[in-house]
Amino acid sequence: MRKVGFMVEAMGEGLVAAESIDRYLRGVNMREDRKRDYEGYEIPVRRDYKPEPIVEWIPPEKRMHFQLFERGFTLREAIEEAKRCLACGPCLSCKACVSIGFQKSLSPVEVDIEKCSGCGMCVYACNYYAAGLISLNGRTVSKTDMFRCKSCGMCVVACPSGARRMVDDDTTEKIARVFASLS
Amino acid sequence: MSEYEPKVVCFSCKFGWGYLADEAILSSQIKNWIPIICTGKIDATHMLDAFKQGADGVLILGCPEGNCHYQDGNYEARKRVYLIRRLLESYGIEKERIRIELSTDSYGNRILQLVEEMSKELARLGPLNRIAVTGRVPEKASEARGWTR
Repeated sequence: MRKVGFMVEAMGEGLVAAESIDRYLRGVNMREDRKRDYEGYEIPVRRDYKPEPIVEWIPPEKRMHFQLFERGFTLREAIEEAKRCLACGPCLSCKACVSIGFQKSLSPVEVDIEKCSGCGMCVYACNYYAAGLISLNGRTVSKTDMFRCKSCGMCVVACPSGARRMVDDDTTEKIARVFASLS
Repeated sequence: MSEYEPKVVCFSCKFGWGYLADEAILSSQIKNWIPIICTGKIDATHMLDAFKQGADGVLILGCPEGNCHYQDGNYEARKRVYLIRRLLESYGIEKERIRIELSTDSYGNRILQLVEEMSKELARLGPLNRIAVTGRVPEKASEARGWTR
């Protein structure tokens, strides 16, 4: 990714790409008289999902016994590792957010297969690998695995064709109510 | 102009803002406040619709970087706000009308403070240019000003 921008800009960049292809085929210098504007954006910081720690091995010359060849954790490393979220429990079996009133219910995500084009934007948007693509009657449509879904609603927002909807979720109504009171 | 009071729609993440406070009390204090489960759930159309429906500003309160309950909802929201700011500017609307704040406040006292802060800033800018938003010339003169009602 070069920068965060609009689709029109991406289309416009086609001209730049064409110029590059032309230069490459003619064997001309790619960089001469061209400026590449780079507009970076910080990468998102994610709290959970740390990779597992690398287990260090005892060097081979010290391994002349039948003990474990892995060094193991120090106390601090062990505590850190025990804290690491393994994302083992599905939200369906906890529902603490419902009991404290954060969520009205753990709304399942419904996909309108008539609207879904199978583009896979939801797969990219989902942080929990809950949204996936399946083949249904010869068409590619998306589907949500409720055992992984945390009902955050990010796939609903990401869907370009509005095919996703959260069942029994009052957020949209709440927003509409506030907007109606504006005018 | 003294009676003009800007309408600020405030979206706030439930996991970072005011989760220890009583939601009913807070919502009686803060006008047009929408607590939402994650800022990543706010659609770009929600943000633009707010302006369409008569808001003068949109304030989004998300969790600090790296503290999103849903991994990167705040990142998504920030990215969206960045793009919408550029979109608003190309329509001749001041980009200050949409703001995102990534921080946390469990008792929610700062929500009202931030809304008032933004109202003050918007009062300086004046009412939103409705013609630019809705694409039509208002029928009534009162509608054109947008605030004498």
